[in-house]
Amino acid sequence: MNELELSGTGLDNVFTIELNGSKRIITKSLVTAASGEKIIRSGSEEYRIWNPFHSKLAAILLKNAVIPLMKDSAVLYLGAANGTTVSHVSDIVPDGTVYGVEFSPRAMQDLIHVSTRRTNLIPILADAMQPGSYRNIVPEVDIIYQDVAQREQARIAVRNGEMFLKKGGFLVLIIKSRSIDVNRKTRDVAACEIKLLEGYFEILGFIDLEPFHSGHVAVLAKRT
Amino acid sequence: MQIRTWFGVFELTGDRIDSVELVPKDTDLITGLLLEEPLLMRGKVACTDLRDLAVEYGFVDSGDEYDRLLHELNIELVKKQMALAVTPDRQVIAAVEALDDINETTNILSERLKEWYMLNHGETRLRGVELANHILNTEYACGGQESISSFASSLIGLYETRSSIEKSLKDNMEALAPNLTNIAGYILGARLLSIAGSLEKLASMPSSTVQVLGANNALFKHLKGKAPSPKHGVIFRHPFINSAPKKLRGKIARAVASKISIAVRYDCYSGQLRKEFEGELEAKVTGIRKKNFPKPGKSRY
Ligand SMILES: C[S@@+](CC[C@H](N)C(=O)[O-])C[C@H]1O[C@@H](n2cnc3c(N)ncnc32)[C@H](O)[C@@H]1O
Repeated sequence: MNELELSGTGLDNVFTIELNGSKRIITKSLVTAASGEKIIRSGSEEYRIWNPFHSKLAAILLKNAVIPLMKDSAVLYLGAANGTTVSHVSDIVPDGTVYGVEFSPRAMQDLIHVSTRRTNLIPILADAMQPGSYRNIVPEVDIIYQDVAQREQARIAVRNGEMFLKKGGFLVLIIKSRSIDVNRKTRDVAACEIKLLEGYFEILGFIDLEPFHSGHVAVLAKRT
Repeated sequence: MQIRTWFGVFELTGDRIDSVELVPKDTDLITGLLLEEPLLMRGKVACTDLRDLAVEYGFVDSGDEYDRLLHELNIELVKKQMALAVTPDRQVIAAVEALDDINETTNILSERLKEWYMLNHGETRLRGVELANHILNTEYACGGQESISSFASSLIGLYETRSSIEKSLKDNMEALAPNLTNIAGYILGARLLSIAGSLEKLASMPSSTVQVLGANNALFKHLKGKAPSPKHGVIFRHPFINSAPKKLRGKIARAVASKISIAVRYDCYSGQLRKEFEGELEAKVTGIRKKNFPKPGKSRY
């Protein structure tokens, strides 16, 4: 197999590559990929293809946003679901830890599978609305990534930010406009949610996730 | 001051550690403790990271072992939490839905077995498990007929599975919902739970809804696409209703539904068996029958 030409993205372990004429985003596998995963090999390394249509974080990165994920970052991931995105975050922070909070037992079933092979990924079965319930498990973190697709998203971010995010720490908040107010436009809802964050976070900007995820906006913020 | 962590209890005076009582290095035991109490799993005690303390006090040999153990522990903890979340009503719902599937399958397979048998032996009045047993007992297998006897024994296996599911369903229903089971029987009771989704949901439904549960295809999701949706609620399989004259069935169904509602509420919120419910319902149904079909000779004239 010939060496492929990987381009850096400014993030450790994340690269882009030209594949059949289109740009793909990939992460360097921390553990050998599970069967069924799309991978590419270059030299002796294995990389997992990251689908921006399935993962909002991949979409954010493809839109050239700067997210300070380091290889030793501690990340609190709220709404870990079946672990698709979480597994890539775990690839990105091989020397750090990802705490994946999820409250649906069904989704947790899959997340357990993903976590078992990844020692830097800690699954937590809990309601993100009640951060006190996992206070004994999660330490101070560098980044909170939140994608819970439910009402009260800003409130969840504030509560978790206050409890776990270090000063100057980074928040990525995915706002699904429809889950807050069906009648208002995506941007309006985002603007409104941002208001709720003020006082706790400095808003750095927001990123429309079109065309990958319509009706979704990512808010980037820093804990003040 | 005392700080309780996942691997031991620290006694402190200010920032000085006076003593540590280590927990046995047993994942099962520690997750059990964690279910009861949020023992500290991260951060510092006496300005020292828990990870370093665990090595220093000999709970683990290295930081790597600490990380591995902590990871394993978190996964075991979540698995235990999930096992606890599998409530008894979800168990009986799974069982009754499996029964429905098995019934449907055994019917299809019985028909097939009978046709196959008649191909070689002509008419028979045996069917189902009897025919299957007959085939196996008469050494039908000899003479190149292994296929049909293996088919027959699979069918018998399914019937046996069905009895064992039925038996455990009965036990589980009697434990979970004694009043419902008493009034509706364990199969119909479980089926109502399955359509409602949970004991609590069934308990919160008005009895008029209980009466038509399952009448609507969308509600009766389990059989969707498999069978035509029943015109009446599943409650019409209750013996009081299906044995009644057609024109009384609606009235009796209302009485049965109303008693079932009360029974389920007792199951959900008190758990006590109220034996008298059964007699009350019987009296009510007898009353309805009498009023509408008075003894011949008396009311005619
Ligand atoms: C849109 S999905 C997340 C997808 C995931 N981030 C990915 O990209 O792979 C939202 C998830 O958040 C979970 N969720 C919603 N509200 C929650 C809460 N209050 N606490 C924990 N998890 C929650 C849901 O169960 C669901 O799995």
